[in-house]
Order: sequence, then structure tokens, then C-alpha cells
Amino acid sequence: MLSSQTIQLQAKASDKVDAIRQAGQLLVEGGCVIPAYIDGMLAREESMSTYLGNGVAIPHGQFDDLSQVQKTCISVLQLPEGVEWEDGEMAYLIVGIAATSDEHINILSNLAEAIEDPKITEELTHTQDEKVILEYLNRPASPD
Amino acid sequence: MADSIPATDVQTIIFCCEAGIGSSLMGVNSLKKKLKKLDIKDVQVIHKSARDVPEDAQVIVCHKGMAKLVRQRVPGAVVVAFTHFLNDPAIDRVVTALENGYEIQAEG
Repeated sequence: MLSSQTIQLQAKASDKVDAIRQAGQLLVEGGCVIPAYIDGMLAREESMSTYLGNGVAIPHGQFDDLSQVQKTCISVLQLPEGVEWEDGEMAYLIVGIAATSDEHINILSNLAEAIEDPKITEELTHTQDEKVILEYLNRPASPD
Repeated sequence: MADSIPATDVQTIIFCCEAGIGSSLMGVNSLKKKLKKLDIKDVQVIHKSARDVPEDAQVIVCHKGMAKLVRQRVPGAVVVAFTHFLNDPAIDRVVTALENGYEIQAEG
């Protein structure tokens, strides 16, 4: 669901739209969505921001775009210099989501936990090793 | 529109977002974790896309940008709208109400 194929480290984006396109392109290249899904990601962002806080955004398509999802995938676009997401808020980690089910809930749970810690967030936004991202986000679920 | 519901009557809290694959999942995770910490076990937390929210929903938590739509769709539910996905005070107020058995108030 999240593999090195859908991770792009040390990327640069000119603006938010560019960042969403790149995160979406990773999903296309990973065989997760058809290219039209990216338009859905952009439309969703227009209607409501997916900025989570702490420098992280989770762009994804809208309900009607989910038919364009071929398999549930997560992409990670790392922007060490960041890009302005909304009103002066910078995003450094763009986590693209394509999903047809809830299989990815564990990755999002790991993401939420990781970015609560500023040190880990810093590591995720600057690491040059994909393994660091994979290690934090692909952790097995903690028992509930 | 329902204004409040006694916390003791609440069996299920629904997080909803447009597609049901991103933000609502994040919200469910964080609320579940908070309830677990307080050992509140009798409240179920689930997520739905706005279109799939059942008509008999009791408490719906959603981003403020969706609140109007959700209230139109499910007038009987107490809708709590938040602004920030992480650590929003509106969600903390729901947790406090559940912890102490207060009324959960609609807001946002």
C-alpha cells in the first residue's frame, strides 16, 4: 500500500497545486489510480483543505472519484523546503490517499501518531532514506 | 436540528467527511485513542462519507465546511463541527462530556 515506489524524497513544488499533482502522479505511477483522479484531488482541495496541521496535508479525491481508484495506496511527497498550503501554513509532507476500503487506516493512524512529535515530523520531512518513512508509516497496528 | 444529547445516551459517534477515506479516518483514530485513555468502552466511534451517514445518527463530528450539508441530511443528529483535524477543542469538549456524563452540545 505504501512502498518506495510511491515515495518521493527531496522534492520541490512551486505551489500547492504542483504539490498535489506530484503526490497524485506518484499514485498514477504506482498503478493505484487513473490520471483523472488527480483532477478530483485538486477539486477536493478547492472545496476544502486537507491540511492536517503540523506541516502535513493529506490530499485525496472526492466521493465520486473513488471509481477511479484501482487499488488502495498511499503516496508520500517530501518537500524539505515546504510549500504554502493555506494562509501562511507551510506543508512539508504531502500524503496522497487513494482508497476503496479502509485498508489504509493503520497507515493514517501511524501518520497521526508520528506527527504529534515534532522530532519525528522533522525526521520525516528531511530524511534522505525512504526506509525511515516506511518504518514509521508501515508499522503494524498496536493492539486496541 | 438537535441541539444536544445526554452523553449517557450516546452509543455511537460518527466522524464524517466528503469521501470517507482521509480526514474522517484521522479523526476516528484520535478520538478512539482519547476514549481509550479514559477507559470509555461503551461508545463506538466510526467513520462514514457524508452520503452514508444513517438517518438515526446520534452524534456526528465533521469539519465545519461540511456541517451545513450534514445538518440538512440528518436533522435529528447533534452535529459538532471542528476547524482543525488535530487537537480541536470542539472534539475535546465531546470527550469531556462523555467522561463526565454531561450533555453533548451541537456547535460550529
